[in-house]
Amino acid sequence: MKYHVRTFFTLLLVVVIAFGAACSSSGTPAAGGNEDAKAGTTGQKEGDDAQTAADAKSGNGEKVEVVYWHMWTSDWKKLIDSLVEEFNSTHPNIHVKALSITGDANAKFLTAQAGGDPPDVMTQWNQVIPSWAEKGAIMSLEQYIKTDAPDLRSWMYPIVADIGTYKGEMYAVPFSMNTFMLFYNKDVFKEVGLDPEQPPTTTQELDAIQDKLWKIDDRGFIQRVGFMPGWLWQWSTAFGGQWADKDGNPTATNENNLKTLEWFQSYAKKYDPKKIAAFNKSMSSNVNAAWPFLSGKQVFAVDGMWRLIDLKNYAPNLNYGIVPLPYPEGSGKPNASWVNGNYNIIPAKAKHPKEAWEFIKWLTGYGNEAWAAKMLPKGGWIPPSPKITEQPDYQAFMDEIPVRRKFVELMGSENVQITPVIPVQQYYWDRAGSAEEAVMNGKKTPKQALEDLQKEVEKEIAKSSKK
Amino acid sequence: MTSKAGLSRRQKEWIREGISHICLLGLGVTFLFPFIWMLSTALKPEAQIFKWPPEWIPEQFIWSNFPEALTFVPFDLYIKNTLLICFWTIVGTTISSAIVAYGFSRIQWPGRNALFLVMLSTMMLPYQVVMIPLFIIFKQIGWVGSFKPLIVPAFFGNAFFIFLLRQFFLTIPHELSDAARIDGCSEFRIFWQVIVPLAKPALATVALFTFMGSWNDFLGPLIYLNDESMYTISLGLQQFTGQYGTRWGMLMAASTVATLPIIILFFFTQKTFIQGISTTGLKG
Repeated sequence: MKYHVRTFFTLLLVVVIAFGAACSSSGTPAAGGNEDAKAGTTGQKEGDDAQTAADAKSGNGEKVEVVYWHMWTSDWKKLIDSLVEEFNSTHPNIHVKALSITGDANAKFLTAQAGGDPPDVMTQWNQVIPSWAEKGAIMSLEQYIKTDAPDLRSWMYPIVADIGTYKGEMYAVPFSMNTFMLFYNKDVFKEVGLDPEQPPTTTQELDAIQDKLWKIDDRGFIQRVGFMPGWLWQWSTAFGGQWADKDGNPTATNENNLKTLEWFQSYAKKYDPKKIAAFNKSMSSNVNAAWPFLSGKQVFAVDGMWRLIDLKNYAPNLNYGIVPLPYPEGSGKPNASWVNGNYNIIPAKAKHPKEAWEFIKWLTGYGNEAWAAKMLPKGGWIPPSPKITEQPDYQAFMDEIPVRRKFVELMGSENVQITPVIPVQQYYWDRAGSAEEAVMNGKKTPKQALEDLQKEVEKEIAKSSKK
Repeated sequence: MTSKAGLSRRQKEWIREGISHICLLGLGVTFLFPFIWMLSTALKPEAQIFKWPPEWIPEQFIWSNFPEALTFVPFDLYIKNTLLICFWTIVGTTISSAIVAYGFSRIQWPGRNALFLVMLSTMMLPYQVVMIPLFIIFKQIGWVGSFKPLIVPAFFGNAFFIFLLRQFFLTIPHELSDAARIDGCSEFRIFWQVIVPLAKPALATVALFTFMGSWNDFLGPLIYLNDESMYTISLGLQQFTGQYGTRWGMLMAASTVATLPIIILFFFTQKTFIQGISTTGLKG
């Protein structure tokens, strides 16, 4: 049967090509002149020689078109479009063409990459660097860094450089960052007789005030959620947990990871996670306006800096405070946070990597700090470099809502962590989520869950290294 | 006895009808739920959308979501692009599938059944499997970034619709073809003037399903279109969801507008459509 299928496709291919040749002169009625011209350019771009030939023919200098794919939509897309326009107007030799890829951007990227027609540069925020680097889908940026930005690494916050580094080489350059803190509701603190200016700084303090904060009615229905832990990789940073060693081997069963998960379990035993989930679902989704914290019925929430805008817009009367993640007294790590960012990559088969690098460097704000300090506030982002944070424009942005400064200062903390940059990164992340869920639903003990996770990840690594 | 029995029979009928109507009504409302939610979300203020228990009637009607959503992205352009692709896909699929199905059902030739099986087996291939080879082919002939990869394949038939039409054509008595043949009709004329008019409901079903598939197709346009001015509606709708949240009001307003053509089409073609489904034994 397989043979039949193949012959069928070969036949189909022949017919398609014949048809294509036959109708290329007239074009499909759908096409119109505009589209034919476009198809023509794609054709020309296929080989490097053809490109130079095309450049020579066009005659108007060496304007190079850099195809830029990103995943932003709505207001962010408009912001990106305006940034690209700024770049184009200041770089006469390069024309960046931005394309907003909605939905499954990875499917489009990998298909285009496999088909030999990838973009020149792409902004990602998913955990794809190590696996794409391992597959050879994206190129190392070291050659450009060496000649063009030798101090790029020290220019950045240390953690920012780590995100893009795989096997000692930089594959991605982040240009905007996110950190996370614990929001708490001061109004509820006041209501139950706690000092709103004395938020819990340790997990012990946090545990001790829970009975006052939760509200459960006579029928057992939750009316207000105090604190409910979730997001294992976020909280393990405060416990000093570690998910991989220096050589990239997974360390899921690390004792501090276990402590974090045991702490999670202590809450799941006290408060029914299913009821909380139902309660949260009833009020939330990931829509900005329906973040449960905004309703005042959830006293704590771990979230990022962009939420400050939501609070300002949707709950202007809610009094809130912000603290770094509470940590276990004694062994814990203060000022901890899991950190991620939006970063740019250059596909291995990019046609204009040099110009793409030029764009990346500019967007990151290297040698362009004053501009970046003006741009980052528009997205509510944290700078990748302290040199940008220092700029007066960014300082003014932080002063506008003073707690912003706390989010930004976290970037310099030595206790911030990223997801380990190993090829099974995304798999590891997903399975850790499932392990957490199994513990919260009482299906596994924390020890069991982490041991299983370790085995799963080791198996996955063995599988991918065999290939 | 007779009057009593008649009455009870009528009563029984009444009760039976009543029960079936209540069941149908209940089911109908259930199916209507998502649509009503979509419409009500499109009109609600942002803060009311996820209230629990859900409130079906907006506190105030935010009609502005519609003009906002339709100007937020170039919606008219997306509709134009989508209609263009839909039109040619329908023309291509219907004509080519009917011709191939005719060959598979009304003409005897050696290897017919074997080839029919081969064709059916292509139905089992998920799109994801052929996605990359197809992309490479289209890239080689320079079609990536145009509408052609989305339209031209339709002119080479669709395995499922060929199968559907073949089954339908098989039910048409051969005497009709024979009579035409005796009168001197060519094979194509038999197809065009005898079979096609008889198969109208089935062809309408094919056209409608093609329209729906093409209107809702997301992966194809995602992979082949490289210019925002060529985006289709399904890609455009994604513009309302993003990294930090979704603009529900606008998304639902735009979705309502995007669903409208399908609803209108169903409204007017319902009879043909149902007829097509019942005569071909196809279940939607």
